Amino acid sequence: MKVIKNISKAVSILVFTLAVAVQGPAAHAKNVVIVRKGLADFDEVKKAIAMKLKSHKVVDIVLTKDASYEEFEKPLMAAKPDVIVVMDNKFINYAMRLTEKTKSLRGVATMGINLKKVLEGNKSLSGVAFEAPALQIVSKFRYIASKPVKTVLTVYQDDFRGVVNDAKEQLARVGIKLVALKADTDDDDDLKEFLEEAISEETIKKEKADAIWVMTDSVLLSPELFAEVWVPRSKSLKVPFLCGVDKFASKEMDFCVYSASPNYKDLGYQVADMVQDVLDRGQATGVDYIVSVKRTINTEKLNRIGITVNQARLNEE
Amino acid sequence: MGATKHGAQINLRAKSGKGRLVNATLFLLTVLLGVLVLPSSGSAKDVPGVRVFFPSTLVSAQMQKILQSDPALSKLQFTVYPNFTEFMGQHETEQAEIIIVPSAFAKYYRGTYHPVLKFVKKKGGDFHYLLLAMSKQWTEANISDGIVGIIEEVGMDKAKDYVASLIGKSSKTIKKVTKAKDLIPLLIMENANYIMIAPDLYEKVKGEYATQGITVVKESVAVGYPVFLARENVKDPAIVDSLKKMSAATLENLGFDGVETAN
Repeated sequence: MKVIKNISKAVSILVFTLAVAVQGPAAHAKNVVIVRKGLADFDEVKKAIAMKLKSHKVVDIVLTKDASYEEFEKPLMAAKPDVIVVMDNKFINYAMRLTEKTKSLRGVATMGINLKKVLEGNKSLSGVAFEAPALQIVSKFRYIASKPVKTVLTVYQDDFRGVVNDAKEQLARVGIKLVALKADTDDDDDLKEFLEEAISEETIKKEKADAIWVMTDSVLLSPELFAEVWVPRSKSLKVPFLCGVDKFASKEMDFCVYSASPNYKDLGYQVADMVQDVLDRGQATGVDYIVSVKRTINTEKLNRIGITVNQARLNEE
Repeated sequence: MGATKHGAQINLRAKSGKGRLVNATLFLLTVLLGVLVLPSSGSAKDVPGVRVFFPSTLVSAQMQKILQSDPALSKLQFTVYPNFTEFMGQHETEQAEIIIVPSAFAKYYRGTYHPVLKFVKKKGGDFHYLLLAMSKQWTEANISDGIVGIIEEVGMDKAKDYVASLIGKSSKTIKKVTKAKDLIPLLIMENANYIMIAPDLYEKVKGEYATQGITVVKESVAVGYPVFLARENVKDPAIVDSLKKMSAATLENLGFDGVETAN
């Protein structure tokens, strides 16, 4: 009886040891804990992260938009994270609070607005800014459009000054001038007046603008301003409006002629790479711009303003 | 006394029975774990056909159509993958008879496959990656402080060593993209300090951004063009003969001049 007991113990130990040895990388698997909302875009990003990081243990925590900080922290810490991935500004803010408390914890943030500013100086969280940068929107449009794009006009609030400064520099590197007009007010009526003046025939002529880059800013694109200024101007002005939101270039909205918006699968891969980098280096690695974008073109609206598309270039990958 | 003895006897029986049951259960569970886990590395299913992944400016659907439309290849079933991650994901569970992959893949993941054919160009069977930078700050001297952007052809765990083997120096980190067109933006947006790209791909993609000031920091060692690897137990060896007959039009569309026997 004792002999059987000892043999069974020895075999158990041997088989277990062999199992761990053969698994190899699994023995070094880290706990990657994702916290996000349960929306389709977040889901696509999560799937890509999980696919890329399959040698690690990926835990997916889905919370509602009303989740409290405690509802965020408890399941996350119970999963014993080696690194966290947080999506959406609410959970990114919670993560900043958490990493203030747990200074050894590192993370990667994405799918939040204005991440470069939000995470400025943060030593715990890295990020991938998921708004399509002006470089990607404007350059890719220029490449396929039949008319040249040398100067682009945009409007912005001070909160996005960093984004605009980067955009100016990046567009200058590809030979495009960005004229950025700042809204010095947050009063609704004054904003409307500012936009009406900024997005006008006179300003376009004065600045020799070939296109307008519409920044994704929920204040400047409030429902009222959208309906009362942006959409009417996109119909009356004969310059292309270029956006970072795919719906804005749909036929139904009839607003922008072209959009470059996040490729969520590739965003997931980019985040996964950053997660691995953070795990390897044990420190935050800064905030990168999203690289891979997908485009939507309202060809009909483009044609109405006298611009056609180079089909051969459009078909390139 | 009888009751106590009886009680003691019951206890002894219970202890041995329960203990034996625990041991047996533990043993069976561990054997089951071993049976499930141990064969996992060699359990990919064999499937017919040709699977393809290599960096190109063609989208995967276009490449698949080009291959499938070639009369010489009409009897073959092609599946083209848009990126390394999706190709590997499938390859780890199902192994196709032939895979057409970057030469880096052959170096790191060959397994039981052997090279049968390779793409060539008029100027030869290999090329040199260009290591490019946009800022004068980034030169050959400080590659080790910099970030190099590449199209992903090997996994995360091998990328750094792979790039170091090509350019002779290890960089701080590697950033990967899935498409050639996404490399130049890495430089412009300063996500990376260098990018490594094949010259023919660079010629095709550089026009989109019309960037001034990109310079060649150095060239890599010689790298082979994509190779055709055959699984050990290919059912129909005529597949390789068919692939050898790939038409000139197909080759041109894919960006090559010929197919030759690989060593």
